[in-house]
Amino acid sequence: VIRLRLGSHPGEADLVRLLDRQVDVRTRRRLQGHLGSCAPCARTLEALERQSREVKEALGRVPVQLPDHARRALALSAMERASRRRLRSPLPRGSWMLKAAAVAALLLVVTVSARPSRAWIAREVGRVAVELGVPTVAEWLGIPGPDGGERAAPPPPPALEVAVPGVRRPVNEEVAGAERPAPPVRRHTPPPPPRASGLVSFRPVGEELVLEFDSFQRRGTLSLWMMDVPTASVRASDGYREESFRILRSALRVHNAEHSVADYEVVVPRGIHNVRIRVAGRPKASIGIEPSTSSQPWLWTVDLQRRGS
Amino acid sequence: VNPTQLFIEHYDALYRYLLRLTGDPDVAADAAQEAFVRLVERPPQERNVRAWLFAVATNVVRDGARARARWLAILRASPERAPLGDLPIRPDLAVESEELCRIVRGALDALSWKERTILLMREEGFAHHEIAEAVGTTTASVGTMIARALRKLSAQLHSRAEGVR
Repeated sequence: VIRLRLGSHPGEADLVRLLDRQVDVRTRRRLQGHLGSCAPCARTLEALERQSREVKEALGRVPVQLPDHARRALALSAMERASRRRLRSPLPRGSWMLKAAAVAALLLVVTVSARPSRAWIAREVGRVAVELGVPTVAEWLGIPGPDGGERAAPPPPPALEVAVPGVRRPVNEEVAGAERPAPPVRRHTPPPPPRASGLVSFRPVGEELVLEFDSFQRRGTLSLWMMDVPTASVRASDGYREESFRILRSALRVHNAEHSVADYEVVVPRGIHNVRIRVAGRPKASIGIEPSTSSQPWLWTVDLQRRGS
Repeated sequence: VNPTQLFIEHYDALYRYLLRLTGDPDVAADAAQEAFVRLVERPPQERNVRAWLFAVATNVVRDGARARARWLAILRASPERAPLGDLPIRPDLAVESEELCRIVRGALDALSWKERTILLMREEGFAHHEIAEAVGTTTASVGTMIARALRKLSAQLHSRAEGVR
């Protein structure tokens, strides 16, 4: 809403704003008062109204064929792929830039610091570099390691680097019903991205799946994919630290905490017609899946922050 | 916000706007799709997601090299094309509708990119400040631009309709 300063006559722009209801009540009254006593301005408004009506009618009379089902499916599919890419991304964009800035700042400090401080700085640079997915950045820059050597020791690998994507293996020992021992780690298999858990597949019993989270989180999102696949799966992605999953008969329990920042991706398979989500013991959402639409992938996201909706 | 829900709510309106803006169903569909992909990749901070989607899609059409190349081709070929929509089922209406398509398309093409964007966003019910943000101008100048574009388009419609008769 725009307040106008009215001179002797309102301009065309003022009359358009009046026509489009873009003026506040007081200005509208002043304009209408003026139009009631000024024939030229009233004629200008009438012309604008007529032109506006003509344009609307002309556009309305031209039929618009909306995209067909295939085109929509293509667009939805592109959205889903983008969502998956985002979930796979090791760090959010803002965080990446922040950490890159931190590396730059540390490098600046290391050039002016005393030798004992350099070991600590090298460790920090190494840690941040691993999070950035550039584990050898410290080596490239020739930063001395904690043992006083010429090069920084490579930082320890993330706790879940052993998880092999696509292999049916629990995230940690809490997952019930593990049917077989974990396969040996194959180094040539690409590891999951940093801060992402392995994929855990399971078969819920019945037509309802309950997803229970121990707690709300500092931040994080649950992405539910309704897909025409035989098994359900769950994975913690961006921000994953110590969260764990427990598979129950027709439920999945996520052991998280208030300081957690992980995002979760759950694939709901065919045959499940209702998904109930509970956070901190309280109902959060209940999502009905119609059998007729369950053959198409659908994405549903739930905010896990305390005040999220 | 659920992206699928936003897609269901806004896809048709966005596509209709883009089809009117560009006159090309493929360009419109590509730009609408790209806007929704960006919605997922870089969720907007502002609450008005609809305005954001329209602004992004407008920029996609304007800036995209592929879209621009096609757009120039469309501009060159616009009098012969009737790309605003489908043909009605009734054959007697088909001729009239085809003619109307050509008139409206030609009249829209006579406007500048900014004028066309402003008018079509106005038709979709956007407020002046949302239009201003989408086309990169001030809210105060939107009213003037709408008045000018309305006058121009109305005159174009009249003269083209007269030409047909």
